[in-house]
Amino acid sequence: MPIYELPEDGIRSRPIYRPMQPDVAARFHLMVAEGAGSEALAELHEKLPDDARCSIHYLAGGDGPDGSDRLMQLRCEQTRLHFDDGQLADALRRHLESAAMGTRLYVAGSEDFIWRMAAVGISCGMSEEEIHVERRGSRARPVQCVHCKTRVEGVTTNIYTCPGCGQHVTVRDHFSRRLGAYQSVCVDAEAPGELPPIEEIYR
Amino acid sequence: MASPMRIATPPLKSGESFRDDFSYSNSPQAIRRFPFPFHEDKYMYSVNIEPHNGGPAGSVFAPAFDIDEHYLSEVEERRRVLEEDPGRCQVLPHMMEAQWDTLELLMESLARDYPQHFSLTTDGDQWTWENRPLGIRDSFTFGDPATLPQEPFEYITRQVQGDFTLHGQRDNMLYMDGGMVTCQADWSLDFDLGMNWYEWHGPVPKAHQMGIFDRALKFLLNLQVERPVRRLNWTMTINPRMDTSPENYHKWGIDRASVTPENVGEKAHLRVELQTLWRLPRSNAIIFSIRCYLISMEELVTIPKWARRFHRVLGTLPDELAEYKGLIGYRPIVLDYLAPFDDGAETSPGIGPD
Repeated sequence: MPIYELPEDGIRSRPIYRPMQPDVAARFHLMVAEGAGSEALAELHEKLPDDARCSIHYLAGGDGPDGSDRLMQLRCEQTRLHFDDGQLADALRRHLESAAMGTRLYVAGSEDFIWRMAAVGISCGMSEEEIHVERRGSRARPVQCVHCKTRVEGVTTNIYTCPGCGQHVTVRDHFSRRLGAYQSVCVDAEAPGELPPIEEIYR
Repeated sequence: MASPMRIATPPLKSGESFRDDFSYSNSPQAIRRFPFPFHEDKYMYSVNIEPHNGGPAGSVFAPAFDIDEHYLSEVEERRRVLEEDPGRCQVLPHMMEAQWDTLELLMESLARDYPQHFSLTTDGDQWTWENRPLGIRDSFTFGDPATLPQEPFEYITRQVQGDFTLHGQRDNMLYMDGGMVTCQADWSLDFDLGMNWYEWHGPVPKAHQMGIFDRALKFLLNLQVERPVRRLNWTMTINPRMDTSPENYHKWGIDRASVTPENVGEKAHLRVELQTLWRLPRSNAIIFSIRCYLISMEELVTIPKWARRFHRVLGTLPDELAEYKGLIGYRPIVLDYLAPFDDGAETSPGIGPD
């Protein structure tokens, strides 16, 4: 099962996210979320068989809606709330390093968060097919400037000023899973100072 | 493969630049062997692949990897690009075997096709490589990266013209698992590293809808050792600039606005990539060689057939592709420049000059 689909039109590296489904081959379901991703985990948990083994890690206290209560009420072997995403990533890594064969990772939340956690799974030797991701909440994009490589989280506009090189860059649909980022590129290179209208399109 | 007798061995020029004063130019001999990519008088979308098993004597298709009069200048340009941006050469850690495969393929090919420039002697895993134009002679242990000044892929591709990408094959998919990319037509290795076939081709218009990438992938998954294939691809570049990377687009993008009827012959270049694909024997990876050739419009029109035909092809290129290739803005100026060379006469079959 691919962890996400690629679009048929436009730039095909842009991920399309669908509601996560339980992997029937899984022997352990490791579920991770932040913000509105808690809703996706709750929905996923409902679809698990009664005897399924699972654990939940949640980044609580973020800017968006907080699903801590909801997740604490789910029947789960282990539920952990974290208040720092580095600590959450460490906990995830520890779990995966001692994980049994057949563990599947499910990650839900902002696009920045899900690909950082997916990268933890990959670095622990998981294959792409063992990691399921779903974007929930904001559509703001993590973006890397192709010129100076500066990364910015949560870009909501088609064009922004890169804090690294100061150029006006436009956000493309070209997406790297390895970097967990869209690519941005100078928008006025051929006509300096001529900018198209700046619009908030990734909310 | 062609015998060395059939391979062109021009004198190697030095000191040509691909930036600042742009002193690069083609000799009359280099113009005649330019890989002009158009078989017909109108634009045709094609991903035609043919066996890379030699070609007409003296042509760019004759050797496995073409070394031409620009060798020294292109190697120096690569060195400068890497000095400014080491991220242009990256290989993922699981590709070490493919790195040695690449080194072997390039050294054996170059030593066979250009014995006056390169030689390779091997005694078991003790290898000695000599590159006379660059004044390099290194003995090393094949398979031991510590015995070379750089990792094997970077070491050898610093000594060859053109870009190279390395593709691992897993579960019926090809991945962008490494590359040496310093003379590219506007794509970023650093960004695309690790992507699968469909992802790294994501920005290319049209071909996805036509199913071309599905078929091409299926074909390449079955590519056989010692059965390399090739195709030509093209775009246009303003000034003879090798490094048209997205990383430096903010520096060269403005060139596109600098074309005038007075300077178009000198500034506008047809950029052709001779792309060859090779299955590597140990790693089962694929090495993709993207050898770039640049020819100015005033050089191109010295071949009357090419002037006529390129005028017709450029005029029938769909706007969507002209936009993708970044030439839609200055295309009218190029067409006006070429028009007087197109008398409406028929052109002969094939891509070569008359």
